[in-house]
Formats: sequence, structure tokens, C-alpha cells
Amino acid sequence: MISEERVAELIRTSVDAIPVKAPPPATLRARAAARRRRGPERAARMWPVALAAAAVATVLAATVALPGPSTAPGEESTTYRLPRVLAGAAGVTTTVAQDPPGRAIALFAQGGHYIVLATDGVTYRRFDDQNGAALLSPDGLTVVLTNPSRTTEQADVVDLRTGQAQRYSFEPPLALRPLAWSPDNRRVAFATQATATEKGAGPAGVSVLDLDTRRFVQVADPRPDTGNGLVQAAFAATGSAVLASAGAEDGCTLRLYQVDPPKPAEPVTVNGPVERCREVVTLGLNTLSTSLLIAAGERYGNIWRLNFRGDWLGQNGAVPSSMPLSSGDRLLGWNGGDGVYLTLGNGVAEFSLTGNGFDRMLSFPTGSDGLTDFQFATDLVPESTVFDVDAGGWPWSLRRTAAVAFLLLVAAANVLVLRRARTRRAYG
Amino acid sequence: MARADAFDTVYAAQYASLVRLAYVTVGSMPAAEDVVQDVFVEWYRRIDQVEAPVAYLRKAVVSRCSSWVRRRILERRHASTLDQTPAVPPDPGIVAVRAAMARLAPRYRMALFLRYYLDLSVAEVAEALDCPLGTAKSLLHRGLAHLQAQLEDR
Repeated sequence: MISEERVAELIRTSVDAIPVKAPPPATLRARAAARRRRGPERAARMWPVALAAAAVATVLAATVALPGPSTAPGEESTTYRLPRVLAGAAGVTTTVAQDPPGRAIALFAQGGHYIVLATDGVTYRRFDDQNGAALLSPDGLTVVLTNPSRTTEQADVVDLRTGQAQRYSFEPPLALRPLAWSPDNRRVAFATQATATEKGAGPAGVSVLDLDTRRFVQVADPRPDTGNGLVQAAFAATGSAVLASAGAEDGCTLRLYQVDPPKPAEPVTVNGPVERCREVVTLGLNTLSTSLLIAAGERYGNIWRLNFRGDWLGQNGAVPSSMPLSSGDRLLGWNGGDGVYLTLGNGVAEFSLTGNGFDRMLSFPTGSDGLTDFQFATDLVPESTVFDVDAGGWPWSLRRTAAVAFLLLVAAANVLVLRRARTRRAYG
Repeated sequence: MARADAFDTVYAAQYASLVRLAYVTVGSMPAAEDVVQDVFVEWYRRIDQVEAPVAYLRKAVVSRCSSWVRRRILERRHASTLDQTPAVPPDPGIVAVRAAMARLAPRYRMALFLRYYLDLSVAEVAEALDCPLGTAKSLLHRGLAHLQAQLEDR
């Protein structure tokens, strides 16, 4: 074994044999001085950094100023706009939870999801829940979500300004189908079943959830022998009473239930909204006047005629005459005056009750057979205007993601440029 | 002038050994000269701020050589070039030691050079290599064992 000392000696000998010719030190000092003088030139080589800083500033500015209406989370449009043609699911860019749309003017179901349209008329947001039921509040700020196909002990109420759902619990478990919001946006009426039936058909009770007190009160028991009809309900103008039908029932009997304070049901008989009425399939109350009732009746969801009744609360003045409808048309609500909003074929129209015909307000997108359960925020629509609007701007989350991705690309490009520049300098 | 004098003094005393250190590490005389001259130039620019110039220069050379070796490894994946080596005296013993050193990883070569050529203590080797004392000991022990084995086989 060679000793450590011998190895050290060999190393020294070997290394000493390496010829080294030192340049004059003045040469290196001159290089140092020249490098110092090149300070400004080196500063000029900082252009990639300056470029990156400029890119960051540009992206940040663009993030805020991209064209299109503002879609910051929960931000509301100050005017209410409806598109002449609804974009439908094609306009959806993200979910309510990710980018709250703020106050919404409409809600509909398409492609297995409920979609809200913000009051700017261009911002569409999707709810993640599928196979449920949703109901938009009259002021457009809240959506109640339930799943009528299974029993549960809770109902979710989503605030569209925050995208957050508030959970309301009750007992015992029930299958819930939302029927109507009170005009003051405080209460929601549900059809309730102890055992869920297909599409909620058959006998069902009516319960009311008070969002302020969180009380969930059953105001009407399920009525037997009401066939497979669907229970319907509408709130009186004060929000303290619910008018409900019990499903398929001869004579189309309507009953009035006091919610605040609870009172026994007061039956209000409607003498047949249509001839041989068996089932009230759409029910609406004029929420501005306490006097006018809409009851549209026929079986199996087919409405052929809108009927107006005003005698149940002492109607004064003329009751509008019946209005013929086509199969599939639905009542969306009152326009705050002498008209109603109805789905009409592949769109929505405003009907005058004084015989002045109708105006088509918006059309569903072409090929939108799957668009169902269209709803309006009925407080907002009378104040809205119909526009030919372009698609909405990027949602806030996409803007952020795009900005971050772009910044990363810029940073990576700068790192590459700087490394290549250094390599070039290192190897002359 | 005091700065220039101080520079010249240290330069005269350390330039050759630092170039050899760099050469042992990088295996290329032009690259070794470039590295060391660059280190001296940088040192001269901040000569007033450096309290222990020799240790500073040694550490800077080790650091730059390590970077150079890493870059070189990457380059060799794409191109094959021969190093320009200085004229080697035809001494078979020196040739054998160089061959044995060449088979060691650059970091072992640096450790052995610092310890046995510059006669630094193990702590000083660790400082120059910017590693813990234990790591320096390990580098020296393994490097020496490897070198001894190589020279035994000769």
C-alpha cells in the first residue's frame, strides 16, 4: 500500500509539472477597470428583466381591462339586460361557486345542469349539482336547490353574490320540490313527500321554509286520491299565505293556507279553469295586486288556456278573459302591470291581458331542445331591456389563470434568454 | 496604488496554484486560466470589501470550476471535444498520477489538491469546498483510497 505521504508527494510532483504562464497582473487590473466602465452596458443587458416587468404590468392591466362587462365575483350589473338570443349552456364559462355571477335575471336547465344568467345579460354560470330542482328568487339574488328524487333533511339556498350555499335542516327527511318564492324573497314553499315518487307525481304536502327564522313548517298535508298530478302553490302578495292545489282533483280545488300565523286551510274553489278541469298545472298570483289569480288547468302538464279568477279575495273590476295557449307553454310571472310572461315555443314572450297581443322578448338558442324549466327573476324583468349582446367577458377565475400562465411563460422565456446570454459570454 | 500593490502581491503568490487547482478540476488549461483570471478580475473590482483574499479566491475558483464542470457535462452530451492539455513531461510516474486523478470525480480531485498540494487543513478544505467537515473528511478518505488503489495497480 502506498503511504499517504507518498501519494501527497506524487500529487505535488504531478501538479508542479503543470506549466502555468501568468499574464502580467496589469492586464487583469485593466480588465477589471474595463468591466467597471462597462457598467452602463451591463445595465443595458438588463432589458430582459425590464421586458418581464413590463409584461407583468401589461398582464395585470389587461386582467382588469379585458373587454366585456365586469365579471368580478359577485359584482352586479347596475342595469338589467336580457339577451335577444339566449346563449344557453354554450355561454357557460365556469360555476357559480367559482365565479359568483351576482344578481341573476334568469335561470334554466340545460345539459343536466341549472344555469343562471346574470343581470348584465351575458354572464352565464352553472350549478354543479345535477338531477335536482332549482328555483330563482324574485329579486334574483338567491336560488334554492333540492333533489326531489330522494329524501333529505336539508335544503340548500345559494347566495349568487357569494356563490356560497347555506344549508337549512329539518326533520323528518322529505323529498322536496320547490314551488314558489314569497314576493318578499323571505319564504320558499315546497311540495313534500315522505317517499320520493317519479318526478314528484302524486300526493304531496306543502311546507314553507322561512329563511329568516330557519323554521320549516308543513302547512298542508298530502291529500289522498289526487292521482298523479303535481302539487302547485303560489304565495299571496303579502307572503303570509300560500295558495295550493293538491294535484289531480276534480273541480280544481285550490286551498289557501296561512303561513304567518298558521291557520286551518281555507278551500277556494275554482270552477274549472278549463272545461272539465282535473288538475291545476300552473298557478300564479299577481304579486302586486292582492286581487288577481291565475289558474291554468289541464291534465298531465298540458296547458291549453290561461284562466284568471278574481273573486276569491273580493276582486274589483274586470277579470281578463281566458287566453289560449299551446302545449308546452308555461307561465313565468306577471310583468307588474297588465301582462304576463310566458314561454312560447322556443322563446319567451310578454302577453298583454288587455288584448294587445304579445311581444317576443328572447329566443332560446337554436337546437336547444334540452333547455327546460326556464325561470325569470320576476321583480327584475319589468325593469329590464332587451339587447343584442355579445358573449360575456372572461370570468375572473379564467382571467387570473390566464394571467398566471402568461406570467410563467414570460418568466421561463426570460430565464432561457438570460441563461443563453450567460453561456455565450462564458464561452466568448 | 495600494490596491494595485496588494493585488499584484497576491496575484504573484496565488495565480499559479489556483490555475493548477482549476486545471486539476476542469481538465482544460484554457478553461482553468479563464476561470482564475475571471476570479482575479472580480476580486480586484471589490478588493476593498474582501478581508481574506486567498480564502476568497480559492473558494471562488472552486465554485466556478464546479459550475464549469456541470456545464461541461451537459455539453458533452451533445458534442465530443478533446481538452487542450498542457505539455506533459514524459515522466511515467507523473503520467500515472494524472491518469489516476483523472479517474476521480472533480470534487475528489479538488479535495485532494487542496489537502496535499496546498497543504490545507481538513477544516480549510471544507471551507474552500463549502461543505461540512464530515463531507470533506469523507471526500479525502475515499479520494485517497481510490488514488492509492489506482497507483497500486500500476
